[in-house]
Amino acid sequence: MAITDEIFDFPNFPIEKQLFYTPGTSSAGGFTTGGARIMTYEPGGFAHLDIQPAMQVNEWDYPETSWLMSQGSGKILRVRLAPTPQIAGGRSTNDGVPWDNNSPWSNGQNWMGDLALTFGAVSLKGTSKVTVDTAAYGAIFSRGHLIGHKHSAYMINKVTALGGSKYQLDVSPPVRANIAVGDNAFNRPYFTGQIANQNDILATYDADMAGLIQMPKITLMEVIINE
Amino acid sequence: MSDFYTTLDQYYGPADSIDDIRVVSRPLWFYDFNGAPLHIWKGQGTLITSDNQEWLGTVGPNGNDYHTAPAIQDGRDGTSATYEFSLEIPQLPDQDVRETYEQLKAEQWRVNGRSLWCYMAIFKVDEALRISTPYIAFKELTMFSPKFSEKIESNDGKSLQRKYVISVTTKDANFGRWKKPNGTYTDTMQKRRAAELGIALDRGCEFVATLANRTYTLP
Repeated sequence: MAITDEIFDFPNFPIEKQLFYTPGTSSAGGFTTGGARIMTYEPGGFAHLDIQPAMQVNEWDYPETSWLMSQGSGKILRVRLAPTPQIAGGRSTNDGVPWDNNSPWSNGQNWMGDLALTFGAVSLKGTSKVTVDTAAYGAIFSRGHLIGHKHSAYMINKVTALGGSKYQLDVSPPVRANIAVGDNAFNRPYFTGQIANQNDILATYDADMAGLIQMPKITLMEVIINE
Repeated sequence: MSDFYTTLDQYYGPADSIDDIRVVSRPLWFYDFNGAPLHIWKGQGTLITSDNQEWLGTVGPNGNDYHTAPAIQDGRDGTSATYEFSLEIPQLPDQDVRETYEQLKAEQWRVNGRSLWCYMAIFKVDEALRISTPYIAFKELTMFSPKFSEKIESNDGKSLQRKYVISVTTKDANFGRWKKPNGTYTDTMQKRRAAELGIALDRGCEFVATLANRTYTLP
């Protein structure tokens, strides 16, 4: 039984906070000598994404929040991650106009932009090591940054320099789709998931409001896209 | 010794204290439904074994396992325990749970008499979901009656939720040993059975008569 489903783009609206994390789980059991309870780590795991939207303005004209609050029934959403410290090489170091001030009117200025990175080696689906060629950007990745391929985002757990501009990254969760040499590596990845806290994200409108609405924190859980 | 146990031994090491043990092992299940084989494992995400087989993880992102498997005996005592495996139909996007449930109900003829294989896989450090050590089989069970149940559960008193669970009853290879034989162990009967099967002469039981009325001492 194959399930095909439409993937919706998450609305591109101002946010206050965002966190990508891969908690995984642990499992009781494993092999013990004397009935000792041992917790073993979960080899797989799913990624989570928390988003705290900023105060939304102009909801009268673009009721994106209204739409988003209705997507809790397992709809698959694709989120372009916002530039936060988790995004490598994102913040420009020269003196730009500080428009990235966490205000609702942040326009993303000071954001250096999407870097043209590629993967430098093959990684098979299910493995946890990828090789990225950072070209002229140098050693921009460190532990805690994210790397993206196709629909998925990965947390970098370890960086090993391979010489030249190539770096091997240990990532979690495991790679969801086969990576070929030359595939685009996103320093600002996409996350594909479902809203997990449907009941918590509802916020009601005032009838006489000016079009401002503050939406509670949204938690998304990863969905694996099989290709 | 198989690769599985060699690797297990490596990880087990001297095991002087329980802190020494660093083995991550998970069960894998292969439901050989007629025409619709199903490979699943107890974990999150899609597992790929060294034979390139993909196994679907039964644990959801929030940590609950949709698949329930009982603890399995090794069966050396000769008894044939009954095991029940069940799966709660998960909520899938744009997929009506009840419809899936009804569809599965209509296909229950695929179950009876088919095998359910239980395997074990070992995960080395850094291997993630593509493992290199071959997995080993530790039990083959035979599936019998599928069962379908629906129940309404209260979600913390806030809302009611209908849950659909499918399960199969299985028995191991000891099943059926209590059945009485369909024939008598004599030369005449053996020859008659052979004739029925179209074999001209079966002398396999000619020695039976000589065994009567003799005393045997077991060494």
